[in-house]
Amino acid sequence: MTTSIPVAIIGAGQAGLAMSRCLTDRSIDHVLLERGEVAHSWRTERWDSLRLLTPNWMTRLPGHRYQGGDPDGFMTGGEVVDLLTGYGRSFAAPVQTNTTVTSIRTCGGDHVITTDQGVHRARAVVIATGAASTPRIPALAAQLPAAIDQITPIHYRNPDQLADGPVLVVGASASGAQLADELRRSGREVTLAVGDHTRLPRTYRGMDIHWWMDTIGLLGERHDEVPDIARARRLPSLQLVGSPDRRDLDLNALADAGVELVGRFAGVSGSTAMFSGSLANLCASADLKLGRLLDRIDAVAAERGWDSELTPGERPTPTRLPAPVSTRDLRSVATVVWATGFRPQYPWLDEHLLDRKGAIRHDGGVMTEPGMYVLGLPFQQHRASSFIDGVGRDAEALTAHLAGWLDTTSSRRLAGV
Amino acid sequence: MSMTETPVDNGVNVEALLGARQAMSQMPEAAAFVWKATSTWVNGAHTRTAFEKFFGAGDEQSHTTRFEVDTDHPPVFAAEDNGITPVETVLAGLSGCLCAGIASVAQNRGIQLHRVDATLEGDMDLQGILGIDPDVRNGYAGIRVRFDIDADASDDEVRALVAQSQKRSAVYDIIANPTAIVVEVA
Amino acid sequence: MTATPTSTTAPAEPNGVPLTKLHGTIAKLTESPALAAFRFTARNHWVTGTASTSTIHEWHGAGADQVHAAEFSATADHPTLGHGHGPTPHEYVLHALASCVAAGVAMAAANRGITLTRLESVARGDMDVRGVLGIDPDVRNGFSSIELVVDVDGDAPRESLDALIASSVKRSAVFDILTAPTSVVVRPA
Repeated sequence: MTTSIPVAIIGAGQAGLAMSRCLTDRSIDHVLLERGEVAHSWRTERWDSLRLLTPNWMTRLPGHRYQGGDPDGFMTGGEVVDLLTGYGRSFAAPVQTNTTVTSIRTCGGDHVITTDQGVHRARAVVIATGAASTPRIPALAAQLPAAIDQITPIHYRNPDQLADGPVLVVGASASGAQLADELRRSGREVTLAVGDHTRLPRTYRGMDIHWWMDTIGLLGERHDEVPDIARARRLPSLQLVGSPDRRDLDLNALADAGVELVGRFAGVSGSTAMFSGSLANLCASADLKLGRLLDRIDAVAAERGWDSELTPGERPTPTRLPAPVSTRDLRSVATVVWATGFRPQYPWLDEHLLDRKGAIRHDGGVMTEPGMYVLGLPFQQHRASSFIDGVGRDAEALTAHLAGWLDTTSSRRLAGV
Repeated sequence: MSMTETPVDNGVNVEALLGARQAMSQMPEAAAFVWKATSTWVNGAHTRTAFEKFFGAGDEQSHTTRFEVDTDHPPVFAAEDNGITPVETVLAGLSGCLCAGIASVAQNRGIQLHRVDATLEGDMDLQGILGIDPDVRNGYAGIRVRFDIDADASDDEVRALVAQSQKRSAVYDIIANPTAIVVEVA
Repeated sequence: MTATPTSTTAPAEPNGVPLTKLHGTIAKLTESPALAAFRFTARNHWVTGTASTSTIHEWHGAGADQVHAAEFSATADHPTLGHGHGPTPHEYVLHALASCVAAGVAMAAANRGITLTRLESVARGDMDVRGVLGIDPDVRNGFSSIELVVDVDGDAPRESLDALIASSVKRSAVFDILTAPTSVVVRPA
């Protein structure tokens, strides 16, 4: 059976729900097609101790503001599920749960969405499936000895889940740094292979770093304002943890906790892992970049006359370089955790909508096929596009564009064009 | 008073660089290069290597002229020292690559360079290549590069130039990371 | 009967390799491993654009500061992005590999009493330059692979000549630098 509807949104996470709210405000009829329940990936693909990297007050969505008593705290995964479920209920989001999309094809100006629960015909489609669904695992994973367990953050829950023995965590962005820390605290020997990373302190001059990034306008920077958007879109996630004690989670903190730091996992030779000799440069680059951000923060603070109210700017100590370790016998490693980011995967989309890397081709969320949109990708329209707090702004912009598209197609149809 | 802005000139052909970037983004096959060196043994440890042709941008290419480089070992290895050792050549490759990178990045960032000097040191325990201790590697235990740069830029901007040149350096990558080598007999 | 030197003794320097002296060095370093700590130094000076010149003169090894017979220099440049003042830096790497293997073959041959008549090689490095140009972050900057084709001839059967190459590669410093990771620390003065 085919259902006709003006707009179909694929995915009912923060992006899909924000879009749904914007469409509801304009009385545009739509449906959300969700493979599981609302906030599915927050329910099923997050580890137990995970908390948001952004403080509670930074969970603004269209028509929603944090009302709780702990604006500076960090939500747990379960709390995010409650937030999104309550948000969807607040405006009766039309979610069709347990519906998996198998293909989207454009036919006679309409988009035909085939799911395991039937077919929808829509004039506009919004893809809101999230940027963190399919782990990117390096090809060298295939060369690891068979005895080693391999896991990604999507399937990791807690240290007890892993076999006894030393762990090699690959990747030092938010996930890798947090899992290395948690595994080390559970008493394991942990080695962290460090590639390109973005170092940040949790607080600076007494204020949360996300408050600063929001205040100085960094999070609001638009995609057409940065010199190299392709590069900005692939920046590694921030080396932060949203813990109640507001502690830093940089390489120095990890080294203090007893995590062994090595260079990027660069190759496997027999049963030997080889680590890049580039660690010194990646640490120096991250320290320099951090210095530039803190300079920018200090400049804004001075300009606004806040220097007397704020604590003095204490700069984090430079990253301490460990003695270079270039190899490790993998026979002594029980588990490898691939915290190496995510890759786009849209097997249900036409190839011409994707670039060579399989990512959706779009300009600020407007796809190459008229009437198709994507929402919630990193730096889609601005630096916070993939944050809960930032997706609403993109949803509002796309809704305006989408409403214009519906008007155009309706008048064409009425005119019989 | 006229307000003339002196354009930054580090002798880098930025247009060619940006043109190549543009062209190769659209045609990845043009980005597949094959670099080539042809060596002839002279005597003892003395070898002469020539560079003339390479393949890239979809076609056979030539250097402006044929370059030749000699390598040899110093007298402590009972050789005649007709040229630098191969491992010193690696240092020359690394410094040449980082230096070219610094000039290109500086040009891109509008930074005028006045002087770029580098000292490179590579530590090697000869017990490796001489087969004395199998636990000692043949190659460098580590390489240190110290740059001395005079440019119209702050210290942190200079540090950032040096950091970025490493991120984009072919030779840095070749040395820091493993590369597969196939040796065949003709 | 008295022993008389024959006119066909092995040359003191087969293939131009002074074996006695070489073995002396190996013996010395075996006895005092501290003497095996070598340090090679290159000094680089930017010329213009992508051109720079490295001079190589002093080095440290065998327990003392040493100098080469002359101050050697090598200029690197880029053929298209620069002015073609020299081969590219990564071609120097190919040269380093080819010459390191060649020196090793000559020494191994001398050790095994093989006289070489010809030793030539071609080193080819494949590179997808989208890496260095920053077009694609998944493409590495360096060579994706290197192929070294060695053509050797001498007074020994083919298998013996092939074995020279294999043992030279096993002992090659540059082969090791390229195939295994090396820590590189770069800092402003």
